[in-house]
Amino acid sequence: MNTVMILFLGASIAVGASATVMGALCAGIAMLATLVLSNVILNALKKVFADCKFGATLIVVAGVTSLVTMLLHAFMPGAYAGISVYLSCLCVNLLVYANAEKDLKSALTAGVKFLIAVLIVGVVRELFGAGALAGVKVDFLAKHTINALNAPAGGFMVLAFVMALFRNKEGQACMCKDEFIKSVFANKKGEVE
Amino acid sequence: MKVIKQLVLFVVFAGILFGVNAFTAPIIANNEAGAALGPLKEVMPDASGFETIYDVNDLENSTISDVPTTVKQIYAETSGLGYIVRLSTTEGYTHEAMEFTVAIDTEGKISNVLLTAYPETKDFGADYPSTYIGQDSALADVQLVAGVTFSSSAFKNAVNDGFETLVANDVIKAGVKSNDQLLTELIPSVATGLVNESGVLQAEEIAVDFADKAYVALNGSNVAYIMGDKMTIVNNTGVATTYDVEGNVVEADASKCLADAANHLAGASKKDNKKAAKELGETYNTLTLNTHNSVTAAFEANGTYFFIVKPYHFNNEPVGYYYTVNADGSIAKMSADELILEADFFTAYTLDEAAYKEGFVGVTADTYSDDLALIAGASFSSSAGRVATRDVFEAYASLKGE
Repeated sequence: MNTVMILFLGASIAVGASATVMGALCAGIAMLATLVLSNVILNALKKVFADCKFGATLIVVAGVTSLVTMLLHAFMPGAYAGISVYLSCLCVNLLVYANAEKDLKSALTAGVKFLIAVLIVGVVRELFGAGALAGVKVDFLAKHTINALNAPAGGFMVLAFVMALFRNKEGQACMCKDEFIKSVFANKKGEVE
Repeated sequence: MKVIKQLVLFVVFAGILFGVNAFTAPIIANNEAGAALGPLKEVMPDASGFETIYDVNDLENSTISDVPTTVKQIYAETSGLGYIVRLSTTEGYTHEAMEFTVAIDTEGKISNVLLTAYPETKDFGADYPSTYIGQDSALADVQLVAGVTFSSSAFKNAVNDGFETLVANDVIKAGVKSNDQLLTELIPSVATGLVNESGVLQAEEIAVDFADKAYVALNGSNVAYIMGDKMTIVNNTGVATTYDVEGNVVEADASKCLADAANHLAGASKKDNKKAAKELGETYNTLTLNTHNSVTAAFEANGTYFFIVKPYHFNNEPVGYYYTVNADGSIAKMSADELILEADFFTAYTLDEAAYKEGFVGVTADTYSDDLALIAGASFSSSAGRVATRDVFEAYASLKGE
């Protein structure tokens, strides 16, 4: 299940960072790295922090987000410049928390699916909004751009269309968001901490 | 215990982040410095790096002095490829900042030009800046764009300022100007009848077998002949003056120039004579002038003078102005064929024509100021009156031997 397209988790960064393909790639890599690193660290420290997992999760996710942000700023400065504000949102993103304590395969899968989802949105927005792909101008499309796609409203529109495709593909109605959150954060007694 | 464990985790992560920050901070700083120099790399892509030798915002650390206000920054490329000059001029038509960057190689020639801000109302063409590529400080082959003379003139003057700065500070060698270029550049200072108020030549170039170049003023006031290292200018009253490349008046045989000029200059026309008769009576003298401005004819009767002037209006069209001057040098009467050009376009001005003309009566060279000639709300289109009045006083002074 693609949590961006089905559960609308991580949508803020998916819309905000997807104005260009490079921005979307940068955001996708950031999300994937944050998910995987957080997951590895938290799984390694699961037993140590069993009695305070929420606090530990917060510290680890915030720390990993800062780490990833600094590395992207240093090694992908061009793409980082456009999405720096949205990267900070990773540390409060439910997609990260939802997968923080699952197995590595789940975290990796969620991260890759997010990357694919945000890249699709980025390709559509840059192609039809700016007439370019990854900064390379496409002559025909450059003469007929839809400027609204460059704005956040346009980003939501594209995301909505792509979500509709994913949902249609996934078939049956998904579980509602509240039930999902409960399933993530509930302890063994079924109480949400 | 929970708190302690979380505190330890926090401290560990803080340490990791401190280490990563120490590693990435120099890289980030380097990236940001590189981004700031991005526009410089656009004009000099092969550059390794740049050293700032002049920055208008940091004069204390600048190694260059006496810099015109149009020059904002000068950079030296660190591997010896040349220099980059960032320029900004407000001398164009809109008086808003036109900004561009020029790359100059070590031979003192322009290797690239990048226009970064163009606020003018008319476009001088995307190719115009590239006509400067390959030019040295002489700018010998650079022309102004017809119909966009203010903007292209501002651009050229700013480039010239950049070159002058580099040459004056021994950064590059000056380009060598040819004699005809030097003499052509002399025209605005010695023969204002051939140029508009911005100093741009308003003349038709003609082919003459005894001269390298010849220009006939569009207002019929003068003809300029460039022959080797001298230039002879003949005015409409048949007087010739010869100059050397330094602008000094020199003795020379101007007979060929005078003979040829008679084919291009009308002298005092029938219309001019009619006007003179109307102002001075049937008996008057036709005068010769020693000036080469926009005064095309001068007459005198009983100590009263009548001048016909043809200055260039803001759209470079010559327009007739007529001045009657008393024996004491004060203006008795002033009139013009047109005071405002393109009146349908310039609607923001206020003009009481009779009062405007009356304002000139009694004015002498000592009491005249340009404010008198300019019409509020139409200063561009009334600038010809300013030129005409100044030229009349200059012509009168030359007649009096002043």
